Amino acid sequence: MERRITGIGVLAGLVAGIVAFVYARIFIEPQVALAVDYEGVRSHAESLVTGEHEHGHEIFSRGVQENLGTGIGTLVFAVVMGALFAVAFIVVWAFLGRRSPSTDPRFVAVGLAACAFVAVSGVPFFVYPPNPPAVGEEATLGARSGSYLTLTLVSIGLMVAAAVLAFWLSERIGGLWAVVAGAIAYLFGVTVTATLLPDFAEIPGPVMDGDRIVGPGFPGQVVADFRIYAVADQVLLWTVLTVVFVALLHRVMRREARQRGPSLVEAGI
Amino acid sequence: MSVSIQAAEQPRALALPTASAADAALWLTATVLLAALAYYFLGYDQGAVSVFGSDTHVHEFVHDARHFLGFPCH
Repeated sequence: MERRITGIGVLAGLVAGIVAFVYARIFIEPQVALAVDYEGVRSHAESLVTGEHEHGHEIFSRGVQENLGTGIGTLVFAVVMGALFAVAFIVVWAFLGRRSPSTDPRFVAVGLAACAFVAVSGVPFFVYPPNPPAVGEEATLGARSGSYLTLTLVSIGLMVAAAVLAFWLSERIGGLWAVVAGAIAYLFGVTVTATLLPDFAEIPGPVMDGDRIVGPGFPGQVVADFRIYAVADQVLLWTVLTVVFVALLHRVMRREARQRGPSLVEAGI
Repeated sequence: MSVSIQAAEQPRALALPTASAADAALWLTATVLLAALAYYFLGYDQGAVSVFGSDTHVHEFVHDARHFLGFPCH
């Protein structure tokens, strides 16, 4: 049973990854290309000021990066999310399914996906918005990576704690207020965490030679478009993952129930 | 085991995972570890830390995906 559910998690991730890749290839890659173009303009302007020429060579061509690299990167991410989502679902359903057997596992999966999206993508994206290439200083990369990972892990931990709190409260104050209390606890926790973590504002300004501007700052529209498309990409990925998972889940669970006794299927759903 | 007795007494239309079994625990742990490893290589290796030292092949290869999946990059 666990293996089948993990399998459909991976499969749902694969489908979501393909859809997200197609979306990213059409909408996000042009923004990446604009950012890479800006990098060229900027390094040219900087060499005018300093007199030094610096040409970073690329290990993989742009063509490889924007097609194969983007495709495989997106697929790996989506499959990882699908596998972890399946594990989380198994744990939650093992608990909820025993406690209240009348619950529809599909609703459990949808609720879990909503929580997972908020914890894994929504909140980390909101605190540290995704940036196109050429935004972000090399020197702060370690600090930014550490902060982002810390926030993601704390956010997931707080979401689990909030869910446990909501389950615990639901018998005392009712389901709706228990969920509200859990949501407030989660939001309070991530807000405190985000306040404690460092800020990074690293969009490059214009290249200056004394008082004179010799190169433009990073185009603001590219940052804005890139972020909107990156968020939309995550929404798309999680939506497709959830829909495919839920559709396959019902089939697997029915088949499993049928194998244990044909009469059960007719008696139930 | 109490779970199988309960299952025999109370038939269900939809099957429940037998998450109490050691087999399931092992499977779930292995899945999480493998997924975490893939997540690390995709988002963090060769940025702040690297298991292969100064090599940047993985980083450059998934560079674009890394940017729009929200991972810090330069």
